[in-house]
Amino acid sequence: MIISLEMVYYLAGIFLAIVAILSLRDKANPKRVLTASFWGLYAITFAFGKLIPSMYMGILVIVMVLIAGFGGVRGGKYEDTTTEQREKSARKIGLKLFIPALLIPLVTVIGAVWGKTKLGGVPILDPKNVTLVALGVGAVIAIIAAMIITKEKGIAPIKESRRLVDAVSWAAVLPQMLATLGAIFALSGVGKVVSDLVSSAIPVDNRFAVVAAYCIGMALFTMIMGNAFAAFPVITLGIGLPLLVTMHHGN
Amino acid sequence: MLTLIGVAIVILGFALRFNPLLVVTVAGLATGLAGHLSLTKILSTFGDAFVTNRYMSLFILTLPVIGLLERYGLKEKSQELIRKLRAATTGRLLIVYLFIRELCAALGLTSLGGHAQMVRPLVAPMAEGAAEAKHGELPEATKNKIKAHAAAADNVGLFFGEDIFVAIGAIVLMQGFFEGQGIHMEPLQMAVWGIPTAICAFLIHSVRLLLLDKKIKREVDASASTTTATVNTSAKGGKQA
Repeated sequence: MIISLEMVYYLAGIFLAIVAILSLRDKANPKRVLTASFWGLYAITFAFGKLIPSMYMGILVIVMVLIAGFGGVRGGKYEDTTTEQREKSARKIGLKLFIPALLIPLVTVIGAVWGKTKLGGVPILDPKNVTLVALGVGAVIAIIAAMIITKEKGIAPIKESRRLVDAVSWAAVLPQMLATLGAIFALSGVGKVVSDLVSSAIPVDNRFAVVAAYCIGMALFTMIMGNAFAAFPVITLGIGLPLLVTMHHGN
Repeated sequence: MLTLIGVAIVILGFALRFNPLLVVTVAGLATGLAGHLSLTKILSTFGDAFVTNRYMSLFILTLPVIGLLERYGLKEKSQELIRKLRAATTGRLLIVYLFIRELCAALGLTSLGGHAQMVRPLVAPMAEGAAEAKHGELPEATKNKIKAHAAAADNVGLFFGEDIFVAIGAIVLMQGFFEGQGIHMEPLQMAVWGIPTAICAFLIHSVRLLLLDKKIKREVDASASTTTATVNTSAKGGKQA
């Protein structure tokens, strides 16, 4: 393929590395070394994910969690525009402001649908991850469009995004961590325990009962975990896959 | 059975408002140890899963674009657009917002909207204002109910709309999960099946929002009659005195 998923990850790694350097130089942040370390380690997981052995990566992740968990990730000071400046600019640029914002989903969908076409015998986008690579390409095209429309140059977009990155902060890592938790749950057999509990509670032969158990179980577990990301692996492993897909031939 | 301790830790940890990252990590360690995995295996799984799931955080690549556009007034422009929609009642206003939120989420524009950016500064005050224009002074409980509904509309719209966008974290999580179980799925398939659910969610919640208008009227009337009764009693009392 011409553009692979790993390339998109390198891009993310470079972006986070610049954020880390900018965080380090921000003297208004009392924890700037810790904050920079957090983003720097995160950048490493993106760029060198496949190169560093799993166990060291695991230790790296735990260090990130410790930094974040004990308040090491803070925001700094930014040169913000005032509301009047923004309103003036909104009137001046008008609806064109929406073009870069809409380019992201547009390019993603176009890439997802046509990304596998071949150029010189090679598919343009990584055929196993068309959607994700399309998203990466879309983001790059959108930032170029945004820089043209707003006439900003150079590193300004990354400086701007620091404000948003710091607003999201360590929570950016939470979906990945929840997925990691799901992996540990799977390896430790939590799914089997749950499915055994459910099987003993409901009539497994009744398809409606199983579907109802899956849906209600998913909703309850989401409410408990506060997040569907965490509930999904457990309930699907426990009820969805063994009972719906395997037993009842769910598609 | 002991492996369920991870679930307990997550529930307790989130309920007691500990840092979610710490809670999840401790839960993972506890579950792994309860499941008789060696510490090396647990750490390797942490590392492996984290790297495999890097795609979930790719939204950060969109932050430079959004940050730059916001610097030049993206939010102000979108607020101006929403202001032009002449929705007369609280319920109808929130239905419009629900629709926009769900549609934008389906297109991947999950950043258009949101509790901090749009609900608190704009949608909630507008919803309250629409009710006040129709019914006059609102009881405190009703005001809070309207604010709560404004936030709920955002949640419902985002949650059910975003499962139509192919690159959203949720769909990618599901794909990765099934991949790990040996079942290959295309994000587009999952996104398409998000559409019926999203439509149902929109219709059901819209009905709730229309009923909200009636509820507001009932609450305002109820509180008005209590106030009138109090006024009459004090007037009578005054006359008697």
